[in-house]
Amino acid sequence: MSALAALTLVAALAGPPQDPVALPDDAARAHALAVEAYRAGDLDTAETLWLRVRELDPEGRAVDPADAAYNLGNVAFRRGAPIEAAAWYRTTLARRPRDADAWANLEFALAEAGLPPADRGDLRATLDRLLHALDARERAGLAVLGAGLLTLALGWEALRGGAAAQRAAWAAVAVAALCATPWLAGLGGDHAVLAHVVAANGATVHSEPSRGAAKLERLEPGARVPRVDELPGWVRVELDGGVRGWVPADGVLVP
Amino acid sequence: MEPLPATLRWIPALLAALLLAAPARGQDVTVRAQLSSGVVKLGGDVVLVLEVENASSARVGALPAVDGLRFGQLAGPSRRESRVIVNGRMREYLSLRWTVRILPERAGDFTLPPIEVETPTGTRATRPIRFTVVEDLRGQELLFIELRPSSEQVYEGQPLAVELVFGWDVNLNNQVGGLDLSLPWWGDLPGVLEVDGEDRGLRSRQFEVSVNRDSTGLVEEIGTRQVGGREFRLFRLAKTLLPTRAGKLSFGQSYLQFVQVVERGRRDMFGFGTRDRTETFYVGTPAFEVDVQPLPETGRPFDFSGAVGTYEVRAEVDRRDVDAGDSIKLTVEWSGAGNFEFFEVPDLARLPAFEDFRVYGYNEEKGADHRIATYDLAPTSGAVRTVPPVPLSVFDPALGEYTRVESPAIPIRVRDLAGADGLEPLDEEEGRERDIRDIVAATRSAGARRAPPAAAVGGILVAVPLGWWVLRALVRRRGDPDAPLERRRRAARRRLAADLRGARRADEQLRALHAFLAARTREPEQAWVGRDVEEFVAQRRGDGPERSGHAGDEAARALAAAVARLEAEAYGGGDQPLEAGEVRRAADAAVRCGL
Repeated sequence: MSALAALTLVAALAGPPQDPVALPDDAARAHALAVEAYRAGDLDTAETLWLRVRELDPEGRAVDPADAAYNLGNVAFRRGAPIEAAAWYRTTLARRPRDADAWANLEFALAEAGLPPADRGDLRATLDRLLHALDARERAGLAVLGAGLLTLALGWEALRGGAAAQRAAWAAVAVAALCATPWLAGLGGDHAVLAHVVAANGATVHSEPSRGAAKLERLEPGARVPRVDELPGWVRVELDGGVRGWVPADGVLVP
Repeated sequence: MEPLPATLRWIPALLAALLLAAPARGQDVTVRAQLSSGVVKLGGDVVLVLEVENASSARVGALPAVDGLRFGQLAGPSRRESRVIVNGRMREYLSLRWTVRILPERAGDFTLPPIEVETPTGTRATRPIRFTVVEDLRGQELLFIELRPSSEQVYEGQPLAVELVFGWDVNLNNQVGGLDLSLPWWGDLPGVLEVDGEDRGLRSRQFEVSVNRDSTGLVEEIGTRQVGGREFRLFRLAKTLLPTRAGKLSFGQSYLQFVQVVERGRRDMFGFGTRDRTETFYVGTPAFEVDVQPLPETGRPFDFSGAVGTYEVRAEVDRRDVDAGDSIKLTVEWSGAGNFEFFEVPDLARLPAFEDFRVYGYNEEKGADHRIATYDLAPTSGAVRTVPPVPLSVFDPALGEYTRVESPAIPIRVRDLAGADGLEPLDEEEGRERDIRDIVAATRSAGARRAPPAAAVGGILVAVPLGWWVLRALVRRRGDPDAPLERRRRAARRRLAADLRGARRADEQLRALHAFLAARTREPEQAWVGRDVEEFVAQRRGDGPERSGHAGDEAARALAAAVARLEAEAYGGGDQPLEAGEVRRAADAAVRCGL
């Protein structure tokens, strides 16, 4: 991709009227253009293109959407929106939990935003990070591996019986439970779409999609809640205890 | 006297108990005030005593403000109780006493207004009290006192020296019975810090004198002086004060109390006798004020750190010929007249002139008349030729403006280390910035990262224990797989192989084969001795003797033939063993027969 082509694209994106056809239909090409725009300091174009990458290739056949989310985090950070950047880094980590760069940038962005670190370093945070250290595929693979071991041990016990077989079966049950724990912990979270509160002063949850509606709760900056539904200008979220409410879309990011 | 009858003996005890149990208290609560003296010499003090009777508790209200009188702290209450039997009734007296010292500040007649006292039965007031304060003319004649500030106007932070000179007629030298200085400003001036080193300049003879009756001050004797035709023996008390805020510093009247021994008391050998007869004189100084000006904002340097005064500075280094990176101790001393304890010494690491030095830190020493800072420096290259001047921004009260005092530059020689470029500048080592990590520029696919459906994984996790439960039930329908006979049956082939390896004769091979067949059929070995193998196999299969052509017949015949040959050899006397492989084939034939 030449610089001239990038400039043409930027002009097409910036100059009125906007031509949606100018956005590339190829995720890899959009990614390359976004990198050039980012390097040139054109953060708006870079953001548009990486969002396009995520839209074109949600499965990551050409460009990993986790990479696009990571880069969108850098764009947000460079624009002075560390809370939004943290939301994008968390999105990256949801797909690649052991991405060291995303972790580093997440902690840096949270510190810049004055929010508590993602990994506080205490026992609970360490266990939580351990449980979520594998991505969804790895968690499922580990659970299946545990099930295989359990099959062998239980087969031995069923066919031969005896104290040794029983002990082996119990051990296999424990190992299988351990292997299945990350998978169980990820159940639900893998498929839930989260809304990240990115407004610097938090977001108010209303009972209806109207600013005049009753205020149910105040979400702190950086909070994450499951997204249930969306309307223009509003995102419906689910709070603890199953209560659902609406937050203004300009205060949250739904990656 | 006849004793009381037993029935009346309790009466006196009852009367006594009633007397003691219900004493009559003083009836009315009374409040009284009185002075220790009705006439007071100026410079002396008078004690006001407040007394409340017949009240278990009381609180004295605010003391009145009277022009020309200074009240001390209210002390008390002290509590006194007494019981008196009057006309056979016990009366109980209770009194509470407070005292307060009153210092007159001028001569004249004074009236103490009523002082309110809160008691449990209501608020009561004392009666007005009159007293007179007179000039002590004799004291003014025999004593001398003078209080001088170093200046009537100072700036915030500028030290203010106060010098008190006092003394007495030299003719009283042998009649000194006691001294006390009454200094209302002593340790009690608001907005002022007292600088250490008040004994600065003390020369020969030093004495401690009583100040305000509750503390002491160190004075020096400065000789004699002729004043008004009299010769006085004089002493000096110096104090340095540091005003911390703008305003007026009020120095109230200071007094010297001198006790003259008019006649010595006499003592006998046991220590009894009369006391000294004394007379007390007073002399005072007029009150005055010192104006404290704020430091001007105009022209205040950014690096001004509070130094006020007339400063001089000198500097020296411990080494002048060093290698690059070697430590140099730079000692800077500020002296003169100023607040040397109350400013921050310059931070050389922040001075551009010291860019070619690594500054490791400094130690400092504070004194009332000097300040010393010893910096630990290291030149970073051989290009350094001097230790630059150390500047300090000072407000000079004499000039009324901010000035800058600088130590002189000190020439040094620095040699570069062989093969080295000197020390790295400090800021490059510590000035690293933190930033986010860069974007992912490469095009990477997510690969086959798609996770299997949760239902599939969950199904596997559920199916495994379910399958185990079904399989286990099926297996257990044929019996316990862990029962000894079952274990023997499963181990029969291994045992046969082991037995055949140790068999040297036909009868040993026959016993091994019988053991194998017995294990497979869950029978004792003796059951196979002399058994018709073909008929047994047919019966196991449920075939009638007329049936033929079954798929296992051939195997049954092979097994029967092998058993027959072994029996012939074992029981026929030949006892020649068969080939081990032939016996194993017979065992295989038995398994094929369904045994």
